[in-house]
Amino acid sequence: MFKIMFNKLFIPLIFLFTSVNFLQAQCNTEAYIEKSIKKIQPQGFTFVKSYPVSGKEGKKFSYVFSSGSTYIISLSNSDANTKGFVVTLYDVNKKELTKSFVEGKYYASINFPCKMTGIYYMEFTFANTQDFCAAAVLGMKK
Amino acid sequence: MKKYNFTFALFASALFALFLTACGGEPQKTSEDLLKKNKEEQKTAKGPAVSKEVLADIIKSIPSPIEISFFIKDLQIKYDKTISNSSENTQKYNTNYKQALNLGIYSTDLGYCNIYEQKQDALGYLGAVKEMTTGLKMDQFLDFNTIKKLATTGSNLDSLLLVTTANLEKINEHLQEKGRADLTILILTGGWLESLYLTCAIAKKHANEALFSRIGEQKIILDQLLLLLSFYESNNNIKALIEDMNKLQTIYNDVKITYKYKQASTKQQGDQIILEQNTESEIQFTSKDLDNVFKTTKAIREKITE
Repeated sequence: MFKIMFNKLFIPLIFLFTSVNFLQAQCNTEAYIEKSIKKIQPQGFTFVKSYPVSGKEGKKFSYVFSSGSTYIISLSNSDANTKGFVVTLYDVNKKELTKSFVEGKYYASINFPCKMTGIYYMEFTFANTQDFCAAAVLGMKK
Repeated sequence: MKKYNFTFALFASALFALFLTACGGEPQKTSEDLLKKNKEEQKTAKGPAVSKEVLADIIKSIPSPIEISFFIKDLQIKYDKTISNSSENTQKYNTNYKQALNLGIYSTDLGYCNIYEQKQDALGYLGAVKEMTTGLKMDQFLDFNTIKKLATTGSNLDSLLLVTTANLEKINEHLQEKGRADLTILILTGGWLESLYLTCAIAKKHANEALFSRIGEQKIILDQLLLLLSFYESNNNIKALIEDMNKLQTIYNDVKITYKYKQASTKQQGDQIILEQNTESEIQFTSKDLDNVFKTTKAIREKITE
């Protein structure tokens, strides 16, 4: 009985567990960072920070945005239209300002002329995808 | 049979729990939640002052000093070589503490002269940055030859800033991975102090409302840096630095930042979301505040660079 259960339950579970870890270990966020940098440079933005995101839980970052500067948060993943990868931007009071997934459409970047200096929050999440590997970069220009 | 069932249930539960943990079964927490949790844990148990995750998040929130250099250049203010730290001073910095702080200082100076395309100065500061990274055993992350080539051949400024910023980001990440986030924090502190010093020195010569606001808003970043430094206050050097930075914070307590809240709006343009923020911030920063901030920053900087 134990042998049957071991074969039918444990082995698939172990396989699933190691597969998830293997896929996460294979996540090459560097390539997506480079891809995002290439997207912001022609628009006149200077690269400021990179945000690698791997794992289905996503990741949250903060940054002090300065009034008078224009920022861009540019997303990249394995999809040409960044399908499945979303950034939500929150203000200094953690109130949602906007997100890159609107009415079922994924947008590749958020362009943000900042008028209020303070700590902002960027929450990177995955939606309707099994690809939990992505990255974003922050660019700025005057 | 019963024994097998019990063993099976126990093993399955353990494996499932392990699987959930590995997949991030716990809901996502912000750095503030984690910080609160850390502080609570510190009260009851001895251990690391703060988790790597919290540190990494706060570290990442500190703006790049490059932003201020761009800001200064945008105001049509001429490059002033005399206000930067001399690249000849490197021999003075023999400890990891001084090397990390001065790596931050020299990185800001390198960014400042790069933005103004001062090639000769850039080479001097690049050499100084290399010496500091060698002292910290981080020189493998500095692509010296590429930066040198970009700085001297009049190539694209964006590429030069990109490589420099990316290299410094790698150095900081590697230090954190090695459990030396204290050095990362010192690099950031040095870089920030230098950008504050440069901005104040320029504002003294070219009084300008925009510059005043930019110096005033550094209050927010100072708070973040003091929070980071506080995790390492058991280190005597860092404790002394915190005491100096606290003097700066006392001055900044008089600087008021007020917000006029209005609803933001968004529009879609191609594959971009354009956010139009209607809330505005106003920073009250006077000439007297400038004098005090400049005097105190200069004194702290002298302790680091002399």
